[in-house]
Amino acid sequence: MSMDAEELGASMLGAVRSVVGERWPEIEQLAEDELGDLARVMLRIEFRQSTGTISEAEARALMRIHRNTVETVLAGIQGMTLVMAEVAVNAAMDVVRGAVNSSVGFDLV
Amino acid sequence: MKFAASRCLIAFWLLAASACQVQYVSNYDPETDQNVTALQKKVSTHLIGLRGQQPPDCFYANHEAFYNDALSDAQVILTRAQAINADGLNALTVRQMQLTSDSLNELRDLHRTVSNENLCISDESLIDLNTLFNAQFESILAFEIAKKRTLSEAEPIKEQP
Repeated sequence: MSMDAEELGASMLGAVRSVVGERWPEIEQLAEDELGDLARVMLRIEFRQSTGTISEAEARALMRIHRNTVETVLAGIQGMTLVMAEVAVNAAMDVVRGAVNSSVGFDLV
Repeated sequence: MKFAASRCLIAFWLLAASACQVQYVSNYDPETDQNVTALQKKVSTHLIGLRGQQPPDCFYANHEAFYNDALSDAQVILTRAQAINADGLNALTVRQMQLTSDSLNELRDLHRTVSNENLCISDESLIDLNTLFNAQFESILAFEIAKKRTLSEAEPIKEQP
């Protein structure tokens, strides 16, 4: 049995697409929701500070926690994207491995 | 020409496939998941409990035990994350926990400062603080759960309230 490079490439792409297509919308939605909430919190802190409801020291502390939160959320999104990339690469590798082993008739790779 | 290119491509993927599977982030750690969930509950209970309190009940001195406890828990989680990071694959979780630990220190300092002025942290600020801490914990947990690398199961990235 011979291998067709174009067919193999299409199979790999299909494997990658099934992974990315399934997971990316969830990550995108999570990012939108979290960053939207954080933007609203920042506006509220600024409003309360400008109207004198909270002191400058309190506003500064809240903004530092806010900044930490944004960085934490972005690190989480980065991590989930890496997991998605890893699963996609391994899915493509599995397609190649299956095609090669099937072609030679034994477990070569 | 096309035949030669195809053979080259196949040879390349043969080499690539002979390599081990790639891993970009560490494996799922159930203890991190459980400990972060427990800390989230502790912090949220504290922030909700402070709402509506009047002086002197709201003063830092009456809540010092919470800060000692929560900061200790955060340190335990951070130390575990660092231990898992021996291969560098858990660096993002380590960074997330450092930021959460910093945030808890900021909250403690804020509580002290406000109490020194004989005031309570306002209910509006407590609501925002709860939102911020929940976002931090949810982000850490969502990433940890994603490390299970499950794709087609019914488990969503983020638990809906």
